[in-house]
Amino acid sequence: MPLTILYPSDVAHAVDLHGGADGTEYKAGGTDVVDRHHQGILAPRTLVDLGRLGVLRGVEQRGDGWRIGALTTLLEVAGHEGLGREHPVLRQACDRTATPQVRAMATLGGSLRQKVRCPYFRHPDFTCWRKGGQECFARPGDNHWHAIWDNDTCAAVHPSTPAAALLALDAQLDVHFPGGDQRTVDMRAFTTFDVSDAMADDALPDAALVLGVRIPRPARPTRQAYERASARHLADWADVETAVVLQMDGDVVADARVVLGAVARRPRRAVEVEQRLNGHRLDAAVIADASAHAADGATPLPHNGHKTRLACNTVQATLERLTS
Amino acid sequence: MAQLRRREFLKGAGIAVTTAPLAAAGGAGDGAAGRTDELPAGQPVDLALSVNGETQRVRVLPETPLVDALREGCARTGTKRSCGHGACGACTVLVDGTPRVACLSLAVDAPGHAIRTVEGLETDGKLHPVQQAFVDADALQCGFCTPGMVMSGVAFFERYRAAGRTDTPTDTEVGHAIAGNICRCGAQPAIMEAIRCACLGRTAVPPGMRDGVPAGALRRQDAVDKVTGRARYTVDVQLPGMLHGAILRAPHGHAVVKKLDLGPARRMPGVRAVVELLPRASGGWLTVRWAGMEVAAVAADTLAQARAALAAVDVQYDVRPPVVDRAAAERPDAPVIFPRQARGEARKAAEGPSFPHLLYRWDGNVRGSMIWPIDRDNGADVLEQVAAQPVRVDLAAETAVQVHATLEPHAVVAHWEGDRLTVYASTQTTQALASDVADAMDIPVAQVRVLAEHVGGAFGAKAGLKMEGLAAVRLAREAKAPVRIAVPVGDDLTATGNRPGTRHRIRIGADAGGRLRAIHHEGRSYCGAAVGESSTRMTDSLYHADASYRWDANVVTHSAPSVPFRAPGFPPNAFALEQAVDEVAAQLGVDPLTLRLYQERSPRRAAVLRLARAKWDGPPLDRVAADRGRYVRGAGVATADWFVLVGPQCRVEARATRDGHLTLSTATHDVGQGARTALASLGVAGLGLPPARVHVRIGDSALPPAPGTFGSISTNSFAPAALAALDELKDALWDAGARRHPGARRVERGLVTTGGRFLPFQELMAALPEDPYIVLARRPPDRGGLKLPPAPVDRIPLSPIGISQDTTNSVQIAEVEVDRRLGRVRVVRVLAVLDAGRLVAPITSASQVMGGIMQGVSFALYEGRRLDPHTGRNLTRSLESYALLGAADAPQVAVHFLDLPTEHTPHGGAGLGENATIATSGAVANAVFRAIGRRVPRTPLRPQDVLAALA
Repeated sequence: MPLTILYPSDVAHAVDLHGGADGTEYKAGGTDVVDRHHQGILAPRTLVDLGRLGVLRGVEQRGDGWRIGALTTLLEVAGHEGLGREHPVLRQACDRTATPQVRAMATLGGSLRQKVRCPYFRHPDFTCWRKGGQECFARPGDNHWHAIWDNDTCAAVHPSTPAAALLALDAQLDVHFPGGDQRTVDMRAFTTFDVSDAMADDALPDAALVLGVRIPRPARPTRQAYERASARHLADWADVETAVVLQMDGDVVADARVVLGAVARRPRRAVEVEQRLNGHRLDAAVIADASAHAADGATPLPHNGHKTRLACNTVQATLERLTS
Repeated sequence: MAQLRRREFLKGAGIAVTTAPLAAAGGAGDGAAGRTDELPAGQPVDLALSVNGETQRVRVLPETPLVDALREGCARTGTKRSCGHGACGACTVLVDGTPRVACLSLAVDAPGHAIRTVEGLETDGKLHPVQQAFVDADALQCGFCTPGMVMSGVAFFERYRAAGRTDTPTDTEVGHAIAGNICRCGAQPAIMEAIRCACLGRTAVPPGMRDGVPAGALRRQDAVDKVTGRARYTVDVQLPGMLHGAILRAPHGHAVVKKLDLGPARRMPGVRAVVELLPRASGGWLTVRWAGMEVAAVAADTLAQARAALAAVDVQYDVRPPVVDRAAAERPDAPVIFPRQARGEARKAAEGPSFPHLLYRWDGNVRGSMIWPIDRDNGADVLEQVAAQPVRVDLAAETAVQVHATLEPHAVVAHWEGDRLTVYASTQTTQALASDVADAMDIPVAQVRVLAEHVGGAFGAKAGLKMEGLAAVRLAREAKAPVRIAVPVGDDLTATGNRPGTRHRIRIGADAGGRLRAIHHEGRSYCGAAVGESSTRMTDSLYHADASYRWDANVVTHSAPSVPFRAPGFPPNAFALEQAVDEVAAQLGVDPLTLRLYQERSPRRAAVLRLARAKWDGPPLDRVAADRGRYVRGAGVATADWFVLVGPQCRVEARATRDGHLTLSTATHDVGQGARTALASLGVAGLGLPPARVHVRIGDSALPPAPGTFGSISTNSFAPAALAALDELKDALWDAGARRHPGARRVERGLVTTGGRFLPFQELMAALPEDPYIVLARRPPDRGGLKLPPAPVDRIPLSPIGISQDTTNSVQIAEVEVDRRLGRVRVVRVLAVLDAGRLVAPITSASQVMGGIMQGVSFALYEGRRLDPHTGRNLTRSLESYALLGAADAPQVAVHFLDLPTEHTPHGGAGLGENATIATSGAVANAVFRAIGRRVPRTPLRPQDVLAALA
């Protein structure tokens, strides 16, 4: 399919050019939009290429935390020493995403806003909700990869591993909205949207452009880790993944963030686990008790019940890494 | 869009404008204020790329991926295109020093960046250290992943050197560095060793060869071509005026075509030919029985035009509900997929002989065992004997459908010149393909020539004429121009073949002394829309119970037909059987190697078992781990046998020239197993020539006959013929030499003159009576004759093959580590001991065994095709969803051979490609059992299955 590529002169211009038009998408690293264009999967007809907007790239330490430009590649995020030292959860998450070649191209902003990896969506012969159809084929079909929460309409899981880490870090997004507004949207708001809308992947309109990510300086010392369950150690999509950031008062968990990925339409905080950690020392009994609640309230589909156990075990494995 | 803006864009981006006129399209009219740089749809862009330090001008479209710009636009075909999704890494290039996938990179983004490809690594004709290490470690087989793998290795090497490091790179970091590159042949341990050695500046050696590399063993003959990107595969063939073909496939698992009108496609831009592929049947077309079945094909000037034209074909389906689910197919009320009169439409799943359908008992969708020998009671007597034994095992096991996933997709270039046809094909059967094509096009086979210089993996899926071959040949004839079809990976993983899934129930009764007294094995192979697999044969050949019963059924479903896959039927057979036998050992508390020795009648097999015991230095084999920590380890054993197949008609031509060169030719193939190296080794050893003077010609149907490359038949066929040819040549050389040097004495590698001077064969070649001097020799018969002489089994893809009285034997021991928290199984190491007779080429033999192990690990832990249960469509149509073993998960390997000539084959050797992969999955499964104390007899063994077993 023929493709038009537009090169905006600045951020506002980019958002204007996008204009929310059907078939128009931003191109950052291109690993999703170029793939979909070539495979004919919701193929963009016009790409607004952000590649030359240099302002969107780079990692910067500020007084109140870190700011990462949306076009910073996952390789750069994972390779940034200061950032990695302070926020290992983000480094580990980026490092386990995709392959080295893809990480060298894929950007943090693009990772947050890529389309889902559901094999039905990515199959040319299924016209699901997201491609203008009237149904989800995974729910009555093979839903082994799919969501165990938020799965009433579209059952695809959110595809971004870094998103789980950013939610655990209480990160905020600098967003340029259509019409010219620039606002900060925190990850919790970004991941809060009406899941009955099968097309939605986040709370932002399509034309909204994520400019960068801010990671606020935590109020207390933290312990952080990312872990996943997957058949292969590397270069695989996670079956279930967990990002944990614990703010500590000495040995006691003061404020826990336990986020599950690959289980819902969005990265999902396991509040039931967090509550059982807050105010406790991180010992084996507390971890075992808390992680057993990681999948509370899940509504698995016929072929993905295994994800509830994987969720509990992945949370447990991640917390166990943080005991010392 | 205004041309002014284009120029501005091009200038700003540093893209050189060539003299090509840039079509100006009207109607800019966008609302954006100010300047909009733009690449309008459909308009070619001229780029100047920096490739390996040279400026390369290329014309592309905005959407053209970098890999196509390099391969098609710059004719640099070293960079390979495989998955097209960024998952396999075959197209890896360095962009400003960093590896990227060129399939997801747009060419228009490339100007201003330094691109390095595999073609640019040599300096002054000298290989890059990483390339050299790949050659030394034999870190490649088919070579299709190699350019991308080398580039990732080079990037790691450069980072390592830039950091001033001298320490040994760890497995973890090297595994990370090449995590984005898939090697289907299974060279991962050698690749990691190569990269490590390159960094350290140390000469690499093949890591599997724990006993060292035998003196004089030849390195892989085409390794340099493969590490430099010079090796030409079918997908690299570019002919003047070549068109691009694409195939339309049915999107339904079960449908009847109501209308098929190619007219609209013919009228599409750029279309030069359209053909129907769905066979006609009475009153219409053959029933569509799998999603992905070929319907029609188009050839056009560009691939994009061909694909667009496919969408224009007017095809209307009457969609029927497909029978996809295994269990559903066996229900008594299941719709019958092949009614009696349609059984002939079932494709052939295996490479063995197929017998008339009426010889089998069909029950709905289940084709049972052959009617003869008649089984009246389903082995009830054997079950009674099982029940009478003190040790009884009842094991159910199942394996998933495995897909060949060759990194080079199925590909064909068809080129007619008058009534003569040249077919470049990614095939493992050049001559059978030539004969098939001749039949299909109704022309004499002498007018067809099939060329397969390099083949990027085959594993059984590339035997004989396939639909893409037929399509290319017919399209090329209709268009009167060469046509290339390369099957896109999604279709390749869907429709070009697979290993059937299986289910087994095995019941064994053993006496207190550990002798297996009775074995009852029910096996089912789920072959899709095909029949012919057997997944129980090894149960009788491996063990000799007093009483044995096998029920060997094929179950058909509405899914893509199975085709032969490396040792058809045997890996699933071993997976189930060897777990059942392990269970006997566990019950008796006997070491599983010892238990197998109890059964042994074959001294060779016993010797293999003993050698394995001697070489194993891992955890004890008789233990079921009691450790209950998070990470637990165990070691498991499995064994296998395989036929020694031979092509008695195989001939090898030896051509000697007076300037001292030898060329050996035969129509065999190098699909990565090392046929070139085997032939060259014979030539070097036979005449004592330096390797540089021995040449090999293969991969061409016009060469002397050889069977297809499957079933471990190749070396068994051409090696004896080559030795016979060399013997004849030696006689001629001795005679010629003796004429010049009367009285000279014959010695093994030449003559010794009366004056005591040694005249090597190389020197005697100058005295040959003709130049070139050509000898053509046929494979001599086996000593004592064949067990099963060549039978006129059904036709091609089999040239006549026989079965030798010899057998190959193997044992593998795997050590695994199981993460009891996250369920992941990691295979730590695998020991393989093989009896394959005397080796012709030890280095490539060891690599082939290593590759078999890697494929076996991949089969055991990761691979499983998944279909949508309602439509039969393939959900694992990319290498993201169809998982293959990666380097970071690859085990250490040790390969040992029982280096003992066979009793019957003329050269004392036997094949080893199949037997290398049969035992692995069973060994892994047994190791998991020994580690966690639970048996999970299922492939792929995923984390959730392990956790469920532990719960």
